[in-house]
Amino acid sequence: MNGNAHKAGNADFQSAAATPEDVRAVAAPGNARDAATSDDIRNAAVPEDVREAAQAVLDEFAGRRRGMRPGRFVPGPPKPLREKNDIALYLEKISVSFDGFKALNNLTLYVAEGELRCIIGPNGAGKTTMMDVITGKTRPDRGSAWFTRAYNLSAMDEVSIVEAGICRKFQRPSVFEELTVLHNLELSLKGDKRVLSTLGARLSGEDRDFSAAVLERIRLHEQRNLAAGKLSHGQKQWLEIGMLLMQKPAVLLLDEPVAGMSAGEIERTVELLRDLEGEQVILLVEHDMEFVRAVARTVTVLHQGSVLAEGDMDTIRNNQAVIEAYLGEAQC
Amino acid sequence: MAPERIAAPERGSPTPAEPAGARGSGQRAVPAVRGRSPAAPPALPEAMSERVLNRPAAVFLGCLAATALGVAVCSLLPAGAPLRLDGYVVSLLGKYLCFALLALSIDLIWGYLGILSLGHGAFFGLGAYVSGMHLMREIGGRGVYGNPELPDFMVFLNWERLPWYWRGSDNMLFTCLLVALVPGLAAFAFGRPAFRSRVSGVYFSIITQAVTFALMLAFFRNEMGFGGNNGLTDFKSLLGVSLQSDYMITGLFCASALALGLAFILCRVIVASRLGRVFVAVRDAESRARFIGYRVENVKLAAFVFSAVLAGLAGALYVPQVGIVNPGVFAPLFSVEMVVCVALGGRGRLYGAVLGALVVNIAKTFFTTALPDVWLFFLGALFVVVTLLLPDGLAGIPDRLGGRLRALRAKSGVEI
Amino acid sequence: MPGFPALLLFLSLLCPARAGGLSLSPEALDSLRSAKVADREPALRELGDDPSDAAAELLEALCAGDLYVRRDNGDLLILRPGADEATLVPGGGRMPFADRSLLRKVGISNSRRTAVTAVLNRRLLRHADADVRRGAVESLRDDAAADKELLLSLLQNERDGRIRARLEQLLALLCVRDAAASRDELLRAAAVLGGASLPHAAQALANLKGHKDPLVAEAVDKALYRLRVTADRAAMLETLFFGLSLGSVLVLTSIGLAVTFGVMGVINMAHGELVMLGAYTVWGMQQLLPGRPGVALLLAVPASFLVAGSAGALLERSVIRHLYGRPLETLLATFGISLILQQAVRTLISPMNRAVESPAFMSGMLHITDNFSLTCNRVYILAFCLGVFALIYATMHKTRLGLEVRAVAQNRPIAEALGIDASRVDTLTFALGSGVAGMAGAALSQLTNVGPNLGQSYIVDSFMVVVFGGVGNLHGTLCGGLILGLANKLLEPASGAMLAKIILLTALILFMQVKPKGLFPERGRAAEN
Repeated sequence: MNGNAHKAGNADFQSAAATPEDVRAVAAPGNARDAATSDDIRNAAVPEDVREAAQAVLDEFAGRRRGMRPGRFVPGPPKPLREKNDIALYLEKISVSFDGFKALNNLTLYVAEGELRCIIGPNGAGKTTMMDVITGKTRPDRGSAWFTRAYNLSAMDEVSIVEAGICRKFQRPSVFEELTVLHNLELSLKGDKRVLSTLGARLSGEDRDFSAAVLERIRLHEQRNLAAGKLSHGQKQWLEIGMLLMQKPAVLLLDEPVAGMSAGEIERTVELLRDLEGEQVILLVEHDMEFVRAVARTVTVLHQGSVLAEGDMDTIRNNQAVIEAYLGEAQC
Repeated sequence: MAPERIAAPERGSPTPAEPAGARGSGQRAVPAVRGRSPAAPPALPEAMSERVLNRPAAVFLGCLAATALGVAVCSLLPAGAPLRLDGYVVSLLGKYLCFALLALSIDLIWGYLGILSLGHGAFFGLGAYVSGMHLMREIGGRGVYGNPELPDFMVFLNWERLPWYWRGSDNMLFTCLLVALVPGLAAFAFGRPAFRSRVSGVYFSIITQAVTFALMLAFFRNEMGFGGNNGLTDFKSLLGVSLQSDYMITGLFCASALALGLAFILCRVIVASRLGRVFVAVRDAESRARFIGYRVENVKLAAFVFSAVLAGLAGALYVPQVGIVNPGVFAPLFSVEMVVCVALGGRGRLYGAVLGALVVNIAKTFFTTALPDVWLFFLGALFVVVTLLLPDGLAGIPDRLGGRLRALRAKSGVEI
Repeated sequence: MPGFPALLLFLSLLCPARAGGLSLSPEALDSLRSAKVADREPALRELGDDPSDAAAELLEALCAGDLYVRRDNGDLLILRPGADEATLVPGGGRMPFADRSLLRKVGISNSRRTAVTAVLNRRLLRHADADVRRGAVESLRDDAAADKELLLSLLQNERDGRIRARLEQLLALLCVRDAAASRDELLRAAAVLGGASLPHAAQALANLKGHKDPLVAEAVDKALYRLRVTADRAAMLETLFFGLSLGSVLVLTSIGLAVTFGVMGVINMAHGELVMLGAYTVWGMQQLLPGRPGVALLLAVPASFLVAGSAGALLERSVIRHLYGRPLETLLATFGISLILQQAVRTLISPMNRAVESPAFMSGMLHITDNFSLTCNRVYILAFCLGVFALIYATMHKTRLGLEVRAVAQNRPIAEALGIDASRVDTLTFALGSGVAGMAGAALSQLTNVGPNLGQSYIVDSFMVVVFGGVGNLHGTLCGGLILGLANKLLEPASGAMLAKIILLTALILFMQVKPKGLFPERGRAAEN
């Protein structure tokens, strides 16, 4: 996905010999951002199947443009272009610096649909900053972040990103301590969250069933009427995961979900994650290598703001650069 | 009991501070901190009640209605009757109710949303000036200069005609509309950019104080067309009825009581709804609330505007009962005094604010007439004592005592 | 240098020169002894004709009210204020003299005093010392310089360039006023006056505006334009100076806040009252040392630091300490303390403003050019502000205490783990910030009234400065304060003082909404929390 692909895509339209695949290539992020491209698609004399694909791209493009205006646009995922193993998250050449300190340095990372990806790396490697960029908390100085091909994350605000289906668990457990567990889940429920609709909102039977299911899943059914502040540290972590599940997310960002958990709790968290795997993209930042080994298929190692290595756990363990980066930090 | 000092690193942060979730610190998450998070008031059972008329609310409304009815009846007794209340006393009580309404509006945003406005007097003042303008126009030709069109101070300043913003102020309905609109729009105009750029905590408080300070300076100017230093005064009548008549005084008192009761119910409706729980969520963990999809700035803005409208209503009812409005309502001290009313009564309970406003203002009336020098000492000490020793306010005392009692009983039960 | 100090300088040179060799007729002496002011004419006439220094001194003493007559024997003598030695007139003998009750002052009417001063001054025009001469020439205000012959003769003998320029300007002014002046003279005079700094030059030129001779009219217009530009520039410089001065006051009152609020994160609404305490320290010190305002002020600077600093330490230990992590409560509690402090001053001292004397070195003007001069107290306060800032900056960045303060502010548990006594550091930091507030009050006592409301009027401004500059850094406070001061004074001429303040507050509120973290925001992960 670079400038050449863009040119190639345009050329294909002009030659009127485009296939649906070519159209999709044009639609990929970094390519179909200017209006000229959409005009190309519209004007191209193409076969019917290509035209259909082109129309889908156009719709998507329009959605992307509207998506930049926060809060107005809650589209479903662009179905026609989805395939198994499609890329869900594109982070391309992202740099973020704080007062000269480069938290992220030309980071490029792709995460596929349904993938559970573990991100590890020594302290200060930029793991949390990467999550900040994905969730809109930090704007990248350079580079782009896209969710599927529909959402330009670096131009959306936090709430729009949440509405697009990206949910995040914070590094330190963050729940509403004075509300009951059930109320915590109720507030997180996917739906219209504007002020007036919230004022008149009631839990429907369906909502109740769903929260009961989530409560079961995070094993907090017993405590559902307890103030969240009274939960143990591990339970709060689960509650926060539960709050994310209530939003039926497409992407789950979990920042150190097992920090401060007992061995038993970690085991149950592993089960929970295994359970969730495949339903949505899960991006997991963790320091606990045992835990990572237990859940991870693909592991990405960040170091000094860029990707140092990527692969399965065994490859990573034997990677010389990774060992050097971690030397003195921890033996994994 | 002084609240324990916490050892959390972020000392400026208004959100409750959990110790960093780094490895191993989970065990360090001290139960003491968890039980009473330092920045937020302690767990309030009412805050989570889903019923609009829970027991405290019902008790409060009952008391309010009974008092209002009693005062109204007593004030209309024939002169000389043993229980008859003087017009002066009724006006004074009406004034207290207006302050209570203002305190209620502050509690809605401070107690539930954690927004401390040190400039709510500004909205109160705007409402007060709107209603003062109407009363000024009602004087008509009965003023000192006898000008049917212009208020006295404009004649005095040699103004030729009414400024445009005075137009329509002679119309009662239009004035009622403005009483809600002007403070609401002012709050919107100020709050929207402020909340969007995420000005919060003490920054917001200081800016609101600066706003009311700037307004005070502005209203002091004669050129503003609001009577400058002296403000608006010498009112004669409202709706053609003399402001001195018993019926008018009682009517205004009842209107204040009614406004307070309705505002209380409205606040309860909001607080008991899911929106009320979003308020608490925003107060305690703003970032989390945003990351589960609430537009925190809109939530805050809506609450702020609603609260400003209530404050404006309080101001509008205040003026005819007191007979004057001057730039003093914009003085920062007045706003802060109202805040301490809320703190004294107990935040996040609504009825606590009313209680605090009554106590503080009764004390103020007493001190400023009997011991004027002591009043500021008393007020200052009140600030310190309430924040240090009574973080839950007066309304929290029964809860605390109950909690102690339960703890004692549990302890002795274990021992037996 | 203008006339008055030059005159003093000259007189101080004169003093040792005895009033010897003065001969006065008995008639003149009697006229001096007379109790009636109107009788002085014979003596004045004789003294005016006498070129000797002794005569000049006598005249000067007469004008200054230092000439006395003894009630018992009718001796005339000059007795300077505070001196215990008198000079006899005539004769010039010196003798100790202390009993002033024996003396009667020799008075002089105001109109004669003006005339005598002019005569005295005229004598200085030919003095040997160029500085004295220049002073005398400069004090020849245009109206008094109507004597063209005198000016021409002075010009002939003069070597000093600045004095010559001044004389030429005076001559030009005479020429412009002279209806009979020729065109060439007028043209030359207009050119000279265009660069002059005489107060009446513009007026005199304006009278020539629209002169029938087009060349002259054009020259006059040009000269007037030059004068206006010069005046505008001076006014601009003055505005800038006043802006800087106001800015320095803002910075002074805010530096303490930048430490307590910016670095520690403690919001102290009683900060203004600590400033007030500092100002009252100056007043108290002057009560202790009556008649020596300069010494009192110098002593009061460290004293105000100590007073306000210990008040701050007390405040921190008793109240603020228990409210860490609860900023809104801290705000309210300290607000209460500010009310208590204000009322305490009202009750214990007085609700009225107290008069604080300005010592001699603080009053007076610093003349840069003829139409641009600075008031000394503002210059000193500007310097004091920069000094205090440098001191605090050095304390925060170069000392062990500063290092500990910053460490505790950034990560309290870690700092404590490293053996820093965080609670001691808190108290010290707070005392430091409060002490600086006290020093600000000491400086303010020289500019404004010292009263119970002194602090209140600065507290909102100070918070605005700190927030505007960016919380957590000192240089932001410096820039913020100076910028706000300048902006205020630049706005004032156009809008008036109160409106300028309103505009500025509004602008600041808007600025805060665009950049909530101020001019120099902190970035990074630490700033996010």
